[in-house]
Order: sequence, then C-alpha cells, then structure tokens
Amino acid sequence: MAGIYGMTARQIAEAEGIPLGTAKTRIRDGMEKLRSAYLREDVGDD
Amino acid sequence: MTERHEMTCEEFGDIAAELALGVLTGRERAHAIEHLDQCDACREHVRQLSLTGEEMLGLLPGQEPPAGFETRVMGQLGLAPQRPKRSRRMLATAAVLLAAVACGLGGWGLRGVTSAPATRGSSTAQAPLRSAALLTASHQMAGKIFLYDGNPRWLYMAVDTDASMSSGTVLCQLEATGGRIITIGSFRLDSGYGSWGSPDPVDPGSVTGARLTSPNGTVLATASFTAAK
Repeated sequence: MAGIYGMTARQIAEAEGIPLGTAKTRIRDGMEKLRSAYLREDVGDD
Repeated sequence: MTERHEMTCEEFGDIAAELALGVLTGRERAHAIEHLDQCDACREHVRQLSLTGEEMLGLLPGQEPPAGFETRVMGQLGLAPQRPKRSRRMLATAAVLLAAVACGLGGWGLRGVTSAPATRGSSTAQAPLRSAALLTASHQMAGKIFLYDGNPRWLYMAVDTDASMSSGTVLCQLEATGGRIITIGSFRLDSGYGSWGSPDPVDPGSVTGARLTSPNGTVLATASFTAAK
C-alpha cells in the first residue's frame, strides 16, 4: 500500500482500522523482508 | 526551552522504509533527513530500501489490467482505490505485492477460486523470489509467473497474449519434481489478459515449471524454472 499506492502510514492505519504504530511496523517489516529477499537473490545470481 | 532530540539510528530504522518509499511526512521526515546527513550506515540502509522499492515496482507487468481490476482488488481488500504512484498497469500485481510489503495485514485478498494448496515440504537454499516466462508452443511470450518461498509463500501469474488466447477460464498448474502436475487454481482471461495470485502454493523448491491450460486440458503456455542453486 505504501510502495504501490504511496499511502502514508496514517492513511494505511485509517484504511485498515489499525493503530498508526502497527501500520508503521508493517511497512518497516515488509520492506525489510523484501530487501532481504532481493539481497539473497542478488547473492544467488553471482 | 526544550532540549533538541537527536534521532538515533534505531529510531531512524523504524521509519527508514517510509522515507525510502517517499511516504514520510512532516517533522519525522525532517528529522530523518537530518539524521541521514550525519550517518553513512543509515544512508546506505535507505539506499538499499529505495532500490528494493524500485525493484518491487519493476516487477509489475508492462500492460494495462482489464477495466475494473483495481476496484475489484481493492474491494476484496476492503479498501477504496487510492492514487497510484505510477500508471494503472501497476495494479495488476498490487494484490501480491501488497501482501509482501505489508506482511501481516491480515491475509490474502486474492485467494484462487479453485486453490488447493498442497502440503508444505522442506525449504530450499535458493532465492526466495523466482520468476519464469510463460511461453506458448510457438515460443511467444504469454506472461510471467512468480513464486515466493517466504512467509507467507505465494504465487502470482500474469498473462498477456495480445488476445491470441480468447476470454475464458484457464488453469494454473505447477510441475513438481518427478513430473507431478498440480493444479493450483483457476482464473479468467479477458481478451487474452488476466492475472491471478494465490497464497500457500506447493513447496516452491520442488517446482520445476508451470503450465497454463484450458479447462479441457489443452496446454496454452508453459514456464520453466531454472534448477535450484
């Protein structure tokens, strides 16, 4: 939602009915997982 | 007069993803940028997150989704359509990527119609995100399939055949080691275009290929995954 639609954490929190802190945590954790996935993929391609 | 609070690296880490995605606003953004000015490690962290965001957008298919796709996806997610950061074509993979970006937002909105997940097997050491081109018998590009061996596991298939495949239901099948064919689910093509995602497919490590077939079993396109590294 943040990555594709450019929604802020507050907008996501309101849309999902979740606390702002939870939305921020999910953005952070999701991006970290993606980053790790891409890093592993890059290493695998070497 | 209050003492000015310097943002720590730990505090910055909490909002680095938002900064990288360009969705951080106001005072937080100002403090974050101020922190970046004096921290090489966090600058590198944000650079990697920004690249990740770009890579994620780069996975989106280069064609327009069918009319109403955005509304249907967002409807299934219980959300109103929002302003896209790029063109409408991105919406084709939004459902899958939303789940990846916002892991834990509460499950899937795009459960396949006839999805029949198989038992999970052992994990593998290969890259968690794999993709392969879907090719017709005449070696024409018909789309792409993505397999993600993370938590949660997911599969996404995007088809664009310039209407060489007529509208109708198609089946997504995976070829596992030993030649086993597993039907994962079905979705509808609209004038040769369609996309579909499903959580929890079979152990991606055992998948060697994929097939797009008609309901009567005619193979419309196939994809082959490279051998596990």
